[in-house]
Amino acid sequence: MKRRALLVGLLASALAATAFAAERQLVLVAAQGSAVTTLAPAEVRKLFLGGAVEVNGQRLEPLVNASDELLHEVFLQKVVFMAARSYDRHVLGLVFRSGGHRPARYTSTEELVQALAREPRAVTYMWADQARRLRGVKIVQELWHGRLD
Amino acid sequence: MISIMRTDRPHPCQRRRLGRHGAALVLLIAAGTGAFAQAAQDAVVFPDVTVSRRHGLDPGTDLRRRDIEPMLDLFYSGDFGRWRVLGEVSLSEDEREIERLQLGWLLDADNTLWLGRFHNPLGYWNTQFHHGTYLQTSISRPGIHEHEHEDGALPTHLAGALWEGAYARDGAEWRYAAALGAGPELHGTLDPVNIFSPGAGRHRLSATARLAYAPRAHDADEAGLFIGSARLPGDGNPFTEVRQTVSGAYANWKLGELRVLGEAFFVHNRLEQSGGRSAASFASGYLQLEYLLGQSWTPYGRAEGSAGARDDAYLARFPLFVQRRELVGLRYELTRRQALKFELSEAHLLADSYRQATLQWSAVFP
Repeated sequence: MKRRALLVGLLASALAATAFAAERQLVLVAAQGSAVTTLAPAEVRKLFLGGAVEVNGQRLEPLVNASDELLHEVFLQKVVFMAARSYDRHVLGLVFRSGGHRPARYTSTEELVQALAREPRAVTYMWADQARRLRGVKIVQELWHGRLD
Repeated sequence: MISIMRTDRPHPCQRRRLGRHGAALVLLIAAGTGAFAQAAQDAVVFPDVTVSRRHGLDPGTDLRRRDIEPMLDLFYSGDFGRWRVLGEVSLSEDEREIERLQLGWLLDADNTLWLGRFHNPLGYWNTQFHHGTYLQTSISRPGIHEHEHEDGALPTHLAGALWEGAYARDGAEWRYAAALGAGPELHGTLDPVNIFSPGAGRHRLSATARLAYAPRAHDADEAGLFIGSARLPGDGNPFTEVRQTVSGAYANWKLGELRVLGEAFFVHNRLEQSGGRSAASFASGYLQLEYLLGQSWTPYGRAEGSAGARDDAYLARFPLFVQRRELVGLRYELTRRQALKFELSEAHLLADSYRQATLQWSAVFP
């Protein structure tokens, strides 16, 4: 009986640990000195879909964080509500129709953080634990949290 | 029924020159592709190669039985404070043309006032895909949206002022466009304004308005209405002027994995010639269905039809006008920015009929 209870306990602990490990938090970030304040979810979506979003008369600059494929996919699915393939064509189509430019895309976290530091109007998205570790980056708001199955 | 007139018009594939100003624009775009890709400017290159084979053509046809058409579309846009510059150049064996050259003033986050040469917001397809073949799912455009130099019967380019904008409320969006500018003249084919020689030819005012409702802001889904009026000065062969009124409706809607795209056009032409006046009308429309199959495959089909086309004296000037066409196709995403498409169609033009198989590679860089 004791052995069975021990086994059940171990299994429950393992499951809890797995669940905890898979729980992620996605956040919107900007440079430490940036004046960017909390945005409505619809504004974040609009910004990354190529629409113009202004804060204090300054047009925000979205940066695509392509350093982590899973992160980018989760951002598109949970915040922009679009698949990666559709997203690229949508943004390209918008620029082609009305002008402007596609969001700059970064595959290196280091270059992304440098770009944030250069441009106080710039915002991007990261995993919260990564954002907390990086110097010169501030978390503006949570965009999504949940388990990744 | 009227007969199809074959005039001494320039062939739709007549070579068009770009000029020195156009060459400068090409250089700007080429420089932008590399240098400004990460800045407040964007430059895009859309290359495509289309291979087609036609069966069942009339013996005396001008159309080729086999064709290989490489094409390059170059696009540039740059923001300079509240000013925005936009240019699009199309290069192929038969055509080198500045399709769009616009200077815009960003009135606010959602409204732009443009001056220059632009695509006429008459309907949906023309201003949705422009000349970027990669962006459209199918290889071919609907016949009613053919450009002027491809024997198009409606003005697809205007030179003047264009106001574009959107008004969002409660998560939905009203999108609008209003254009006022010089339209094409009827000289063989429709001949739009050359932006670098605006005084050349005879061009009169055209006006177009479009209003659309999108249930979700920033999504592709929308349904709209449009109306346009144009005075097209003629070459006297036989028309001295055509007063054209176009109205219609369109919708682009996603239902699960199925996208439905359709448009209907009603065209009234008042024809003036030395012998007097006459009037004629025709209708044209299409319905395209696209089904997203996973990440890479999109089978699609389109049916195009018209009514009154054979009896319209104005359309008799456009022997390549598509009266009816049915097609099926398959698009495959080769990579994130390259697509391969295959299309089978049966087309009934005013002057010819044929079956066609077409293969196309298209891409976008960077």
